Amino acid sequence: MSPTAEHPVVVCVDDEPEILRSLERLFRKEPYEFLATGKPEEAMTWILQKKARLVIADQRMPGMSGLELLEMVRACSPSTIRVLLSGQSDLSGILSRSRIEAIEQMLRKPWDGEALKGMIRTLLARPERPAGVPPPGE
Amino acid sequence: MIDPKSLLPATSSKANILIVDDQADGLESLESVLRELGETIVRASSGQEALALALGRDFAVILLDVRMPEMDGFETARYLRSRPKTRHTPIIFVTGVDESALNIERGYQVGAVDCLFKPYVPEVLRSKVRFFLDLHRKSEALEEAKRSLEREMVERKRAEVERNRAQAELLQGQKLQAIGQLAAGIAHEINNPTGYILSNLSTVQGYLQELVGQLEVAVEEPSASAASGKGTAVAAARPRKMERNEIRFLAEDFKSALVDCQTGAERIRNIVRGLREFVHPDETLRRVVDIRRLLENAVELCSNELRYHVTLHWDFDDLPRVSCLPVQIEQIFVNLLVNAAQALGTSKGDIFLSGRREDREIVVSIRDTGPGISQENLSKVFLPFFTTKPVGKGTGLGLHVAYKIVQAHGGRIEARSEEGKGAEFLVTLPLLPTTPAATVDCGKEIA
Repeated sequence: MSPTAEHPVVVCVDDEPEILRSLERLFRKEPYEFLATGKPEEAMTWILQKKARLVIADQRMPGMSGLELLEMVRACSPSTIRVLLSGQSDLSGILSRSRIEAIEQMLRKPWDGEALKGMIRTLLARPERPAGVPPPGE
Repeated sequence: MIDPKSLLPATSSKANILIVDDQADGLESLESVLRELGETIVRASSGQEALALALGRDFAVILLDVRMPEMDGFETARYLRSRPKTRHTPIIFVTGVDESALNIERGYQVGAVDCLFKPYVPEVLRSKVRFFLDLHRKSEALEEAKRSLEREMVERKRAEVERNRAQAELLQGQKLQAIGQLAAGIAHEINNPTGYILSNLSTVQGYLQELVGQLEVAVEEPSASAASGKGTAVAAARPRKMERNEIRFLAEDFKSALVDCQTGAERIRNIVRGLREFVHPDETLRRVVDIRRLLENAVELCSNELRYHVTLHWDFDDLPRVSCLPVQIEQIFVNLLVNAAQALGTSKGDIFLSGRREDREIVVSIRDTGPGISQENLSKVFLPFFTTKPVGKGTGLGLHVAYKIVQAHGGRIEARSEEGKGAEFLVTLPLLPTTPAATVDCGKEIA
């Protein structure tokens, strides 16, 4: 299925397969294509190749943190909506002022299934910025 | 007559001498001889009076006239000997030269320590009395030394109890600090499985609803097809009939979701169990345990600090079990693992965990590939409050407490490092001689 505004692609990256599977189940009937991976590199490839509308990244992953990945996404694919998923109770350590712009939405573990589905739909309903126009604040 | 002054307690430096005679001139002559000794002389003119006085205060020596009406010297002496307070007070009998040898013998039998014949040579009397005064002073000094020794013992015991309590508080305090450092990581470790457990549970409720719907469809199918004419309205309210592979997928994924829930719940259970055992403060019983298991527990507690950038390398020989206070040893391992993880920082690194038996000892090594410790700091790492970590990251108690714990176990802890090549900490614990008691597992296993 080709990615369109009617059937967008959502990419999720987390190093825990249980988390990925639970999200796959949660989004099974949602109106978007949900792609899950444990590898940040693979997520990056999908985001670029499939022009993902939204990415959910776990903060703590081996090799690359979620924030680092979202900063890369912000640079390479600015129109992709960036959501950080985190199980940490205190984020003050990682969220410096300059880095916070890489995140558009925070999602804490444990999450509420219905609320999460609602949040993703709302974010996807946002008008897509035309390519080449940087997001505000850049 | 009793001199009223004699009833007052004697001043501490003066000893008391009791002189007993029913004849006033007898008392007078004794006192005149003894006066120059400079002690307190107390008079009694009868055996009864002597007993009453002797029970009220301490006498260094009692001079007792043998011949007295009512209660004679022998009887008085026997009473004095029968009372605990005067059982050991020296008694000198004062008697006439005409006294028969039989009576003198009787005097010694009832407890006299000496005998003096009238008329006495004043110098001989003084010298005899002086001898008992000396003895009295020495025994008093001995008594005082004994009391002060007892006081000192009590004080030492109290100080030791205090020291042990302070030690226990230090141990517990450091343990809580370690937990504090790990708290954020532990919350993360619990939040992750909680996230997918809750999500899966809400998902499978939906699955259940869908599958039950399909069951209803299957049950109603025959009648629905039989009465095809009037079934359209009912069919609209019924769920869509699923493809077989769709149902199969739901059933499979239902099961897989429950398996994930179970895995997650077990992870939470293990973390909480590890925590509970770790913070339990009243560990006083040694247990015979597998030291590798303790290290595995410590790794579990620190998993959030280790999982993301550290590769663990296990190299353990098959080791005999060790008698130890397991939570304390685990506390050391947690300290060493957190230090190693912090030394590696956020860059990728390795931690090598090994266990060897060397003669009658077990040596556990925790080695990291971090920046290492300078020679200057290496000699100070076990000192209390020594830390190279930034404020809030370390209190400088972890290694000191580790040192204390290992010492209390009769073992050793060593730090080795070459700057730029990482650091190694070696914990050596003695193996008990192989007695039946030492080989029997006397406590429950650490899970």
